[in-house]
Amino acid sequence: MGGDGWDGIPADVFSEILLCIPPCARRRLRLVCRHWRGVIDERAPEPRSRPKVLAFFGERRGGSRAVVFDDDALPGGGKKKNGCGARELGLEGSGADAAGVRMIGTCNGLICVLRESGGNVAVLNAAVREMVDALPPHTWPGLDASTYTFGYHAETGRYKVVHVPCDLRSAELAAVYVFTLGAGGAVALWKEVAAPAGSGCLLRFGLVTIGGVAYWVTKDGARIMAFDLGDETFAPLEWPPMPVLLWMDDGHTHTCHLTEVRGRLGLVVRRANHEPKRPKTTEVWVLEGESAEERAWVKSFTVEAQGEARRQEIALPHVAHGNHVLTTSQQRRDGVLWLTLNAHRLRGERKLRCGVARVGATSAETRLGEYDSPSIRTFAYVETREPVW
Amino acid sequence: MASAGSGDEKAAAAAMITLISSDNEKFEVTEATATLSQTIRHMIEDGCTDGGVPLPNVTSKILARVIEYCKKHATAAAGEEGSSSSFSDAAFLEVDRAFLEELEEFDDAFLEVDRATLFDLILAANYLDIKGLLNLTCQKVADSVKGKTPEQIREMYNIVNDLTPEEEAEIRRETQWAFE
Repeated sequence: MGGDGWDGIPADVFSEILLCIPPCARRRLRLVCRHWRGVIDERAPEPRSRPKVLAFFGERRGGSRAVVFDDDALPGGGKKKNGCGARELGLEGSGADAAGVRMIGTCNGLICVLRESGGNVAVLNAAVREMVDALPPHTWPGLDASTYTFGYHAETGRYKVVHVPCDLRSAELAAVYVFTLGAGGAVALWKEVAAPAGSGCLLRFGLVTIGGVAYWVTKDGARIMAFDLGDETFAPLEWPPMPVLLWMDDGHTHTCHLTEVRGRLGLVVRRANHEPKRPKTTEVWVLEGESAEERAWVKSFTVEAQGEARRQEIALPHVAHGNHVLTTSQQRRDGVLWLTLNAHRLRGERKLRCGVARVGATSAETRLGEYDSPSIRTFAYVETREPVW
Repeated sequence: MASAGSGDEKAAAAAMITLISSDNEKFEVTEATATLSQTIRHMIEDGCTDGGVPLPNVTSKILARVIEYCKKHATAAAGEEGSSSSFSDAAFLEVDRAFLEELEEFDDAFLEVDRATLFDLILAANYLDIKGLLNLTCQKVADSVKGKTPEQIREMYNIVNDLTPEEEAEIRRETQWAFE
């Protein structure tokens, strides 16, 4: 008989065992070996729902809102009129309704926000109305949500918030602070992890967590620092060099921002072009390849906007959703600035994987919604029953 | 509480079946105990249990444990049927609850075995088609892996990681599913 291994276990029994494990724990068991991955994919697949676009608004008079757009709302999704397929996400308890919150990020079905009153960090699952609230990592870290990132580490199955308190002037970084969901029970504790000597970062290029690794641009603007959420170690990506010279980012030549593109690290480069006749372009670069030798920055696609469409800006940090590019535009109405969120479908040869995508003028079809709000940030969101603990 | 049903049960329980392990050890059990195994129930129905039931896939060590489980749960099943007939007053419910608690304690103690035995019990439960025992043992294994990292599981069970770094990266990407 079978000994102490899994070798003798029939596939039926194996799947019986796997089905006893909750889906959120099961999905990381695909990392054990090929056999396990195969059995899970074949016999105990996880129901996967497609991510949706989540737009987060800071309100002029305090308070914040999150709106989720169903695929129906996107151009080509069968939407008939403005506002259809959009629904507001209940952020009750997080402080969004009162003083307001700032969005740190989303991961699967969880939303991580920074409370404007007190600077607490909250992680909530709006679908099951659960929330975890963490005191600020140190005395007064400020209210800058861009110093935080939120991600999931597959091997350990842990969600973590990483605070990168980089000094804005000196760009020096002494340590990062890590908060692990479910590790400390009701008392949330931040763990201080000393950064290597001479560390620093330029957070204006963004801070993003992908596949259990947080990324930011180093102080010299020449490299990317990777912080592993699993073993909590720093490792700069020595190779390949950045696809554009970030030090040229003076706000006029171009602006760059780290992002996630189809599960990989991406860099959005907005090329400023002040000649009204020429198209305004945004390049989206993706870091392809897994091992250090294979890694290369590949220009994934370029978004061009001409004429009237030039008024649109690429939405950040969630730039592309499926075959749609997200943009924002503003117009003044009765002395108030309104923001519009748009989605442009890229058909046929204009698919996001190749070449140039032209963004047309906004229309009733492309418009997802208009909001009386000074800022919009875009995210991906999947409604799950995932517990926050 | 001698309803017609439990009388039949008594008659059935009197019949004895001989189970023969792979190392040729013989175990005498009541039919009520043996028929917790669907495999043996079918053999009884087909009338092929004369001279004993050979179980070439089950060692005497494991078979003894399986029988221990079946005896306990066969009594439980009989008890349940008896009490559900017409006696549903508080006293009986109280007895039932005490009995279920006892059964749970039995199951917990039953599962206090080493890993190799647990896997052998799973294989035996699967072969003999004993649903309750299979669920119980599978849940035990599931509980032992669900909080572990893939690396810990590999160490625990001597599994070689044959995934390439590319495949691992792909899985990690798929694991965080809030993107396309």
